[in-house]
Amino acid sequence: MAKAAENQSVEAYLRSLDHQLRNVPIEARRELVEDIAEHIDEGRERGRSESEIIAALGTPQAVAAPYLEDVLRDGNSPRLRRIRRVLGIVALVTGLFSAIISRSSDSTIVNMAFGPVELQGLSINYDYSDVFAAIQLLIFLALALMVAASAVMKPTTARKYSIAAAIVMTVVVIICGTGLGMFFVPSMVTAWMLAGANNLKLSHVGRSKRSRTVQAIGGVVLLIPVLLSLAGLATGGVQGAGAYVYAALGLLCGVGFVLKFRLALWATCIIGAGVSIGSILDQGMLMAALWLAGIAYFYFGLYGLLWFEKRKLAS
Amino acid sequence: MLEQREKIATNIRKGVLEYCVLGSLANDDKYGLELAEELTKRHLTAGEGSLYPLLARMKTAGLVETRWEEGGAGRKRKYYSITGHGQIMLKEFRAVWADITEQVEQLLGGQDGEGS
Repeated sequence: MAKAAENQSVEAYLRSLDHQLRNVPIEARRELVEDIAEHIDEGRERGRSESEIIAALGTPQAVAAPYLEDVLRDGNSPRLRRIRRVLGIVALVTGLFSAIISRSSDSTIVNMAFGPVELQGLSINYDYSDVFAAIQLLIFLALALMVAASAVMKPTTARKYSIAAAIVMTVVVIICGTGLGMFFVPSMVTAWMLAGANNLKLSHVGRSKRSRTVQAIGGVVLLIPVLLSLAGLATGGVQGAGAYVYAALGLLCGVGFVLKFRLALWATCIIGAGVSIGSILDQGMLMAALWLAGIAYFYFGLYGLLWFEKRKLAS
Repeated sequence: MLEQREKIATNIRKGVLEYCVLGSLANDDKYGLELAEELTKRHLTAGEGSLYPLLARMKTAGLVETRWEEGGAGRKRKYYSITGHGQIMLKEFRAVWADITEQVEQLLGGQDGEGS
């Protein structure tokens, strides 16, 4: 019986240590727990009692402390602080921008499928519309602030908060649907990027692996439309100077993105923002498609600028 | 009084523990428990467990390396040994330590200890 109780306390100790290390990169976490387990085994063989060994080890908190300091320092590193700050600003700017332009599209109000029935689809009734517009603006701003807030929080607080904020934004986009929800997409993407930046569970290796995944997805997303338009130009299915301009720019951005050229990343980012803004100013049939395509360009470019290793370092 | 002593000792140990590990490994390769017992015996570490994060960090920094060897009861043991870089750092530390202890001795040596 006593033996069982002791075993349990060793198990409890290791479990507690593992729990303390939950935010530490996985390899380091596993290695430390294994080292401690081996230490306990060796101690047992020397005839030390388990409670003795555990007492000598110190508390799981004390053992994990150096790693937790590392993780905290990582979250406070200049590069990460800069990334979080940039994302915070992006969250505010895109939130504000979306708030204003969402008002420019009448269809968004007609498409509203929630809220008080008498307020739905009331773009004709100007009194209500104005009240509604103000409320809508405030909601947008509140959500943008909610997303941006994690950029200035303590890294430990920002962890869970940023994930919660990203989930809230996703739910908002889903609830609002294709009409109004579309304008929340930038805030949602920014929220997830902030959640990613605040939750660096991944080791450095894992981080560059994730970068490569985004690089591959981005390359496909950016290049496939270009290839289609090139095919269209080649077969004569698509005509006009616009198509040529698009194909050239798209090709440069896409290839530059895959090759991680800073200039191409900036271009992708700026063109994306431009296309999104343009789609609002000149609302055509393709407004939604252009808006979302612009957002895709903008965020792939932004991700590359923030996370891709510099080419010199990579080679 | 004891508590204060412990506090002072903890602060000083923090800076030198890494080099004590290197010094110990410079004599002989050791596995974790051996190192932990030696350092505990000399009152150089408060908790044996905190040695392992330190060893992992030193490994990442290239000061020590590890290898697996047959241990007791057919189990594998992780042995730590000092690297060339570790030797260099240890030599640097020796010079710094000699200088610091000398200066501190000179500064404090002339004063009367109040005793405890």
